[in-house]
Amino acid sequence: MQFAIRLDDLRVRYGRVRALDGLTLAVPRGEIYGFLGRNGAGKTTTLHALMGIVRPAGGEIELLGRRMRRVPVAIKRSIGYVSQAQSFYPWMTAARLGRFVGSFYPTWDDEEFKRLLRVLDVPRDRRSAELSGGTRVKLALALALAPRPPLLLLDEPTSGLDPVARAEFNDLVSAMAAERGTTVFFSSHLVDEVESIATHVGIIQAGRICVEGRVDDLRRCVRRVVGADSNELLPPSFERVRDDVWHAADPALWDALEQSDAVMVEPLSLHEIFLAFARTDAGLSAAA
Amino acid sequence: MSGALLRKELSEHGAVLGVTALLAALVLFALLVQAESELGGRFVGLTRFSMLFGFLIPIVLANRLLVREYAGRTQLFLETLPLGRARAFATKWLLGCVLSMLTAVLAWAWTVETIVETEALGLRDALAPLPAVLTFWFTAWCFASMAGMLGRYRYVVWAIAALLVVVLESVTGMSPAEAPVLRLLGSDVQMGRALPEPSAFAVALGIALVSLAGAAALALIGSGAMPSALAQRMTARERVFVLVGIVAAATLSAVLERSPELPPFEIADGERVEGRHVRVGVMPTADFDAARARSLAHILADDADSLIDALSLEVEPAIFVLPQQGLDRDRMQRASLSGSKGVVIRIASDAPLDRVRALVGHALIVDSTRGRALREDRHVLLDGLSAYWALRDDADARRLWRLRAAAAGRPLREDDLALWSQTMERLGECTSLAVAFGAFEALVERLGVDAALALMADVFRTPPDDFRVLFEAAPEARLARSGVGFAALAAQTEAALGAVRERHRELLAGRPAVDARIEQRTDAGPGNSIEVHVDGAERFTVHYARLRPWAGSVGETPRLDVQGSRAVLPIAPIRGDRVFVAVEVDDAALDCPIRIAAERVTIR
Repeated sequence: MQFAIRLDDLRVRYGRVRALDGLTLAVPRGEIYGFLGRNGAGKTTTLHALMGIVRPAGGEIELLGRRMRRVPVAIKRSIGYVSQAQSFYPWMTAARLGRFVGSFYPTWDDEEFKRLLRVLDVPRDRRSAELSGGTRVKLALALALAPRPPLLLLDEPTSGLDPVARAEFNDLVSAMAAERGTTVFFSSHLVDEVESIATHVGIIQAGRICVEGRVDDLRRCVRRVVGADSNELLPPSFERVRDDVWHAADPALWDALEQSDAVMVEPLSLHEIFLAFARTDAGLSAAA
Repeated sequence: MSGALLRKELSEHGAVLGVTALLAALVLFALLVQAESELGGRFVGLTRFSMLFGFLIPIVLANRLLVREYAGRTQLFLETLPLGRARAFATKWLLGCVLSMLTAVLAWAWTVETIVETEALGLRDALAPLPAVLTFWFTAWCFASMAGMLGRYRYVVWAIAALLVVVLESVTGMSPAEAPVLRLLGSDVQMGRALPEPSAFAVALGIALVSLAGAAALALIGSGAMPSALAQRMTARERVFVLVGIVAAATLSAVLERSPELPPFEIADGERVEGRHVRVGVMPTADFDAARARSLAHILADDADSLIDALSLEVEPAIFVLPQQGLDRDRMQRASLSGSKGVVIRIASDAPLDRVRALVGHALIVDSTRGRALREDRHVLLDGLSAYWALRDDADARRLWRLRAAAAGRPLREDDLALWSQTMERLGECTSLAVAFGAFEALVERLGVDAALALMADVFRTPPDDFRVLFEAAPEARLARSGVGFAALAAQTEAALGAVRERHRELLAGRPAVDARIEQRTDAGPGNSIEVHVDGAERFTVHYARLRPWAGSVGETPRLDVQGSRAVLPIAPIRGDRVFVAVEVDDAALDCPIRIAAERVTIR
């Protein structure tokens, strides 16, 4: 399998605070990867490390097949990025912003940018300071997609949008990923949103990945066990996540367990899985 | 360099920079016109323009190109683009540098253009000031960019730089025009005569390089997070801290300010004597002949020289004594000199010699200690030492002064020495000086002359002329280290005075008993008045003063001479006023006025 992003033991510190504490994850090419975590878990820091905005204290980054310690400018030309808060120059119009941003990307497609503005209903000649929060996010998406990057990084872009705008945004991202084969790395704490568009998901807690994998696999690997004292009944290959939620790396183990009468196994939604991991103090360093 | 970023900067800041350029052009035009008619010197207009806009334009550029990017958080947007942080900083820095230098070159070109309209100017002469001017602008831009990266603290950095120039002037006396960097635009450059010395360039370029390194470090180290954090507005606590810092710095600067060096008082007339350290002049008058004046001048010169040697005083003053008719015998006045330093004293023709000598010693010590000898914690030592020195070779006078001290009413206590201003107020000048003399004699007896003088040399050492004076040891601590605190000194003095009282019991008992009463009256007609009643004396004097609300010491007191037993003070105090009243009578046995009552009256 080819990966657009691979992070190996990535560490970022802000003074004494360990924002990323040995983060390891892999994002397959052409997939939409939902990066779930609570506030302060390290999502934005991970994206800043991928964009070269913060310098990692250790670990390795592999982006689009190139391994590196710091992200060079050449690689950034292959990345589209939508940040959490849009800090555009307030005096620039959407068209002016397009010209400015476009001058940094050799692959910039001005026609595509104009098309995206039309599709996303962003006025070309209005200053960015006069745009609503939702329109600014759409403008950011247009700026990120116009260079036709193979990798799109989205840092909680929809957190300030209403449900309709959020749905439109997500539809466009899904469509672009499908149409162009773009890899999307999508951070959020809104589980439903991630579940609706992501093919892969990773849950980060305290700067480390707790669990990651395909969404379907994750649902199969993490389940609730109801009944007798599961601690004594479940074999060591099962790991307790929290309370009655258990994780098994091999889904077949769950199939075997369902045959027994000793316990009752219930499937979990991604929301429940996220809650189980995010509430756990000690993260589980397991991969599904 | 990034062309896109360059275009962005020019279109974003073009209007502001244009207005600044227009303003600069107007000011330069005015300076060049003025230079032509008034200022003299070919390049005075250019250097004055550089002094003003050489700082202003770099500050504006740093604000627009650097601070604004970080404060508006658009730096974060810039960093998401495929543009390295170093490249973005270099683009902005170089743009600011080029615009600064371009302004300097255009100002120089305009200046040269103006000069050649009226005089012949060779290329070499025209180019002469350019290296200094360009170095000045370059340094100013480097410093402004470094300050700009400090965001909300940028003006604090500029204020510190300005303060350093002020402190440099205060401490070393160096003119601001001679300060580093500013030296580049000195008079030689203004006149187009020569360039500043190489060290001026070296210092300026050193500052420029350090500033550039600082700015680059702030921009690049730690993911560039520091300038983003610094660019945000100051918190209320920071504002207060900065304000307090500025006030403290201004205070420190004022404390550090050098006292102006005054020329010595010129003694042109009278009988003059040149001592080793001092020059003394005494003016003869009708009732103070030249021989007496010369004799007094010699005595005072000897007193002053020996006192300066004994205490290592840092004064070499001119002393001038002006006898005057009509002054009271016990009244001696030191003139306040504004434009020169020295000791100028007016005395009565029949003034007692010992008091005059004591006053001169007193003045020397006060001047040498920049007035600190008058502080409450050492004033008694000052009075005692100056009297002791004046009487050191006059046994009769010493006996008389001991007698005066012994006649001073109640036994001497520690507080009488420690709170000397109260003692002086209670006892009057003549008796309090005698008591101080008695205390100093006791000190000498306890420690020996040499040790006592060494101690005084330590107490009355010339203090530093800055804030370090705050850290000097208290005189009482110095006394205590020598094993004599004020308590012990008071006890020993009282024992000695007791012996004098015993020896002269008859003489002291034979003095007329005088009693004084101070009363305040409120009458319907004249209003409030203060009356003094004296029994047992035919003549007396009243010293009085209306005290200001916060006044601690009494200060100068007018004097009322009274023949009889009752006097009404010539003041009309109102309710709540505080009035100091002291009554003195001449004591023939002690040969000085003795204070028999002293009171602070609050008008009811």
